[in-house]
Amino acid sequence: MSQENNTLVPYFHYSEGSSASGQASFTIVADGRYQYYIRGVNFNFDRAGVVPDINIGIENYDLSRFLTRTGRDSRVYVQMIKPNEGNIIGKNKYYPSSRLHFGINAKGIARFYLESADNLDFNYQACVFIDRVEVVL
Amino acid sequence: MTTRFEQVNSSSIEKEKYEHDYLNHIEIVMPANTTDIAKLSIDASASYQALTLTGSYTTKQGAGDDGICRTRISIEDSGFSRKITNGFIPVDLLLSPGRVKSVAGAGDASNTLFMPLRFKYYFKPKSDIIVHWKNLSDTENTLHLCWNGIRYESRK
Repeated sequence: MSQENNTLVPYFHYSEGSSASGQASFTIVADGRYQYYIRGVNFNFDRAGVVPDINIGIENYDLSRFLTRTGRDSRVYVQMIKPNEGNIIGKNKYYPSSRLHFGINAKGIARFYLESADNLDFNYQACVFIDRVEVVL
Repeated sequence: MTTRFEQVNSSSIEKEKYEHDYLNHIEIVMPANTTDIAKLSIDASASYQALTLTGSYTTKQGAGDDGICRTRISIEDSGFSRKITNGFIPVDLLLSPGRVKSVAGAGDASNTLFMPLRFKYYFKPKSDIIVHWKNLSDTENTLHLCWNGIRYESRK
């Protein structure tokens, strides 16, 4: 199958939930027919109307590799996600990250770990921006 | 993975067609507490290569505007029968920042820096961009979506 027969199709993966003991995670499993490029992510966080201090870890599970400097404890994205007034659920004011760029294979897994610095619970919304690699017949 | 989207388009679009930049816009007025769909039709005479998406939304609730987004959308292409989202997504995660203040003096400041979201997608002629939307507010709200891209039409 030649690469000329492939195309990139945008796909937006949404996840929302609440943490337990200050920790939450969500997983993207690539469709068995496509490879995925992970292009970026946008978050909302909330705890009683304010943005908690959240650490994020991003893992390419296929390669057993974290994309954040110190794994789950990384604060790589804190500058983006922890402004004073933005990213409260429903009141996001920030443009999605375009810094991510990694691929996972068909049926591959990408994991996002969220952890509050004070171990108190929070709610989250996340939208991951993906390009699916589809085969054009 | 080193594929390029353009490779597909060059094979999909006939040569000797005229191309120009084109903004495909849809305004959706959403009654309170309603779920429905809106369609943006691609002309029969031209295909459309979307490149980016911009948009804005209002955040009216009750008699005021509290700045909290209560609109969610999912997007589908009828031409290739593709779902482009895995479900309904709050628009403040897609169009951020795209909130338009609609009541003077209410809520936080408007955030209308319309930064484009990458959205490279080829729509066939006669296809529809189907926007499934939900307005979870008890008040009517308005959503604007605008795809920035290139229109390919036949020379006549």
